[in-house]
Amino acid sequence: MTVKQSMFRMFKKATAKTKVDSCRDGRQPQSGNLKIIPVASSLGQNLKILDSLLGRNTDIIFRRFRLGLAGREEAAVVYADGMIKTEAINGDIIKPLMLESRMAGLGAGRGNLPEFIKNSVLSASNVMEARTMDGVVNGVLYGSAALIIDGHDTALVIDSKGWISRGVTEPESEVLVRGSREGFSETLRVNTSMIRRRLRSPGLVLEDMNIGRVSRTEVTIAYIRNIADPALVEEVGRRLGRIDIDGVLESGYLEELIEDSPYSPFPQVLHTERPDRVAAALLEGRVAILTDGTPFTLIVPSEFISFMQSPEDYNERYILGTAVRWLRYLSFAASLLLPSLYIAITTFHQEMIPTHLLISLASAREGVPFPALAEALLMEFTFEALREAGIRLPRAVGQAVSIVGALVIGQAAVQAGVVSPLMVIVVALTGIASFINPAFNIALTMRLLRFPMMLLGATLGLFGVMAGILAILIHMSGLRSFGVPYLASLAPLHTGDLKDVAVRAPWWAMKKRPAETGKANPRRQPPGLKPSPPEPGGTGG
Amino acid sequence: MAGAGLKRINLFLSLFVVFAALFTQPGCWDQREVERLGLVLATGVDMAPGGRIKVILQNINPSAMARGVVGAGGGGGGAGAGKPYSNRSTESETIFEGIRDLSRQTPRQLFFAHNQVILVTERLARERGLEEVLDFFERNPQVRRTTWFLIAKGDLETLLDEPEPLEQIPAQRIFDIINEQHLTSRYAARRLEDFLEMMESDGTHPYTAMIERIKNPAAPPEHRNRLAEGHLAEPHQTIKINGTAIFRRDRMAGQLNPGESRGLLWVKGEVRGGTMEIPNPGQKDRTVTLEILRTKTKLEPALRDGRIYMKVAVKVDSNLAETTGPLDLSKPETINKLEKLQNGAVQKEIESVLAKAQQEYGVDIFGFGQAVHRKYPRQWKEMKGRWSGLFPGVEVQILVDSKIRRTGMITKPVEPKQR
Repeated sequence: MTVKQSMFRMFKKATAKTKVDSCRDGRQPQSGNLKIIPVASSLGQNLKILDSLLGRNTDIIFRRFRLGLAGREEAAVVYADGMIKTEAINGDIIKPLMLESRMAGLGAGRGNLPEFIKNSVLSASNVMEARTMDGVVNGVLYGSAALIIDGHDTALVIDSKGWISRGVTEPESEVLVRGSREGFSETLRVNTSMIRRRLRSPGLVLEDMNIGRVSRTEVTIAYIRNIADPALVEEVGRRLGRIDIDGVLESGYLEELIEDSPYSPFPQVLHTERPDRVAAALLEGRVAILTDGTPFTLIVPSEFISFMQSPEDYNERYILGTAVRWLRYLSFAASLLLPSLYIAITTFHQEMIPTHLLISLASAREGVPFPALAEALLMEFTFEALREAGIRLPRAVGQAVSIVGALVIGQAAVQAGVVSPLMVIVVALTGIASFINPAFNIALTMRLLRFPMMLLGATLGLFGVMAGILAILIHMSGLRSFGVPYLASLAPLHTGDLKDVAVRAPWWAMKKRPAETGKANPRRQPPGLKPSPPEPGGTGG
Repeated sequence: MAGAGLKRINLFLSLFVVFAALFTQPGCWDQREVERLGLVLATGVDMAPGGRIKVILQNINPSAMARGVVGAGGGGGGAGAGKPYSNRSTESETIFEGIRDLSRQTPRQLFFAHNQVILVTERLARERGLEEVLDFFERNPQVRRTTWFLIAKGDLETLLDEPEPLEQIPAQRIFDIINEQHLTSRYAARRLEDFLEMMESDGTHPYTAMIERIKNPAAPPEHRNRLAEGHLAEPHQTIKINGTAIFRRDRMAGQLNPGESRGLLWVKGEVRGGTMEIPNPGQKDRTVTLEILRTKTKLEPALRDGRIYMKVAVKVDSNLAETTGPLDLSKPETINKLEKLQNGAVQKEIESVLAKAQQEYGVDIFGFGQAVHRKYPRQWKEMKGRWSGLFPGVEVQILVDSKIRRTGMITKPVEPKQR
């Protein structure tokens, strides 16, 4: 408690200099009590308050000028440089107020001047009235210009957002051969527009909220009314609403604060940077959470199976989609189990290996100084280190890493007799298998769980591997993502949903939404959409 | 708040300790690295003086075997690959004792799960019986019951040390030869499980194939040693699976020649292929060779008037594979004639083995007793005690139904036209 108190005192000292008592409750020094500071009717006083709050910032511009012909009314525009469109401030706010207002006869109805200005003078589309400093400061810090007029206790917050941001580019973490090339960017409005463009229905709802005491990050909850379960939407809002963190810099912050089982190694929230994927999820009755400042959008609820699915499955023909899906399931198992199975079988169950394979195994391991487990751990460690190095390094250096990796591990280590060639093959296959996973976060989980599985395989053989698999399965069947069982469609079994799990059914057969998320509106399309040639001699054509 | 956190840390710490202990303390008692295994591919048992047993094992040397396949990285690999296998032998009271004794001369832990073949010498099988040697193979968990079980003529030491370039391990060579059994069906090799099952049944007696060294007909008559020129001549000796040993209970009673062996397989319904030679109906002294495609055998016992009848109905499908002499295949009668001749040939093979089993040795290797047991379980109870007395008197009726399916790429035989 003493620590807290002393920190509190330090805080007080630091903020006392601003002369504005802004830390009455000690928790929100910046904005907590702004709500109760009204906009004063004196321009000077308002500017004094704003100056004490924002004046130390070089990027906050205070522009004072006089309104109208007579020049009686003093006013000021406050905005953050770099976050606004200068032309908008100049042409839509200052110019009409200083020059064109003369023609409009400004000053006639002095009592309701701000409303008059809002209605008749400003040629900006989004203008809001603010009566507390809270609204003014928030607006200024998010790219609006605040117009304060002397003698009026209402400030006008005029939207003039305009900053340089990364454009819409191809999503790098989810590349498709066939499908949209658009990926989310860092600006929330651009992202919501991409969803809106794909779902041009009044049913699409985008609800905004601010999260983060300091960062005040804008977060949007997107769902389709009549498809998403209202209880789910409410639950998402509730979970997001209880977050009280100082800053949200990436959707990963939110993910950890809203997931059902924070100790599980399994991701329970899907993230994507593809607007088409978000749109597809919304159509299944899910809810998307968009965060300002990151291209990664969260999709809830997300079952285990949805981590195995790629948008490509739905864009390519369904036969191929089905085959690729099975390839993915197999490589998912391989990425988790291959090294542990290799260790278990070669050290405990040699009778299971075909004779000729056993002979070449034995000869390959001849002279290798380590037991299979140590060999596997060494190789896995090297592989993971190489992979990590490859991600962080600049592209030009990355190539050098892969050459070193291929030469050192692939060849030199085998020739030196430190590791056996088969172990190199196993590790390489495991690596490739884990790259096949469309969702990066579940591949990370597999990377992590591989090591305990290897230990189990090395100590208890296949029995240990089986025990590990069972433990993982038991854990997974206990998980939930926003109330939906993690293994849903398989456990609990929804036979109707297997059309999108065991196979990827053709679109004309996808008549219903997933059972767990599409409860509110199960029917996706009417039956009878299967195309067929017209009957010979029939009326069809 | 802080207390709960501490408790949680304690929980994790104790869990960590438990798991650390789990992974490090058991010592992996069953663990063995592959390269530490001495893979045994063949186990042989022979008689030794003083009522003792001689055990011989064939160990493989993986690094010598896989040279050039896996270890190719080495390039030259000049440092003498060595012999791909090594044989070890010892004398002891029991097989297991002998195997443990062999660890005194083996640098690796002997591992029997990949044993391909078990060999017992004819001497041991005839003079002492198999009872004393089979217990180990059935009891030991490493030995597979699907291992081929063979009777060996002559010394195991030489039999298991015959060179063969195509399959360098003699045990593997024997195994691979037996896998081609269906190409001739002229010997009846049994797996350990089948042999044991037949031995322990009261309705049949066991049999299995015999293996022996023979003079290699391919060896050049004038045998020079051209090793200096880097040339290995064909060896003088080779191995061949030749005929079938038949047993009375666990003791070897006699031997069937290749023809009689197939007679046995006809009755058992285990002919999967092979050739039949029948006289050419077009020219008596010439031969037509048929290739057997599939066969089916039905045993139907009957008890009438205190006598035991056994109907052996064999169905054969075959192709015409070769003819010498003229043969007009365009006529259906020719095919009919060929089929009749094949009926006769099959019948002769069966009769020959019946005569040997019923009259000469009086051992029911066909499983007639089992067939009677299946159909007349009540009467069998009374008969099984004296089955060996009843078996020679069983009246066997042989019915063969042959079909010739195809006659090959040509209809008319190759015939030199003369002017």
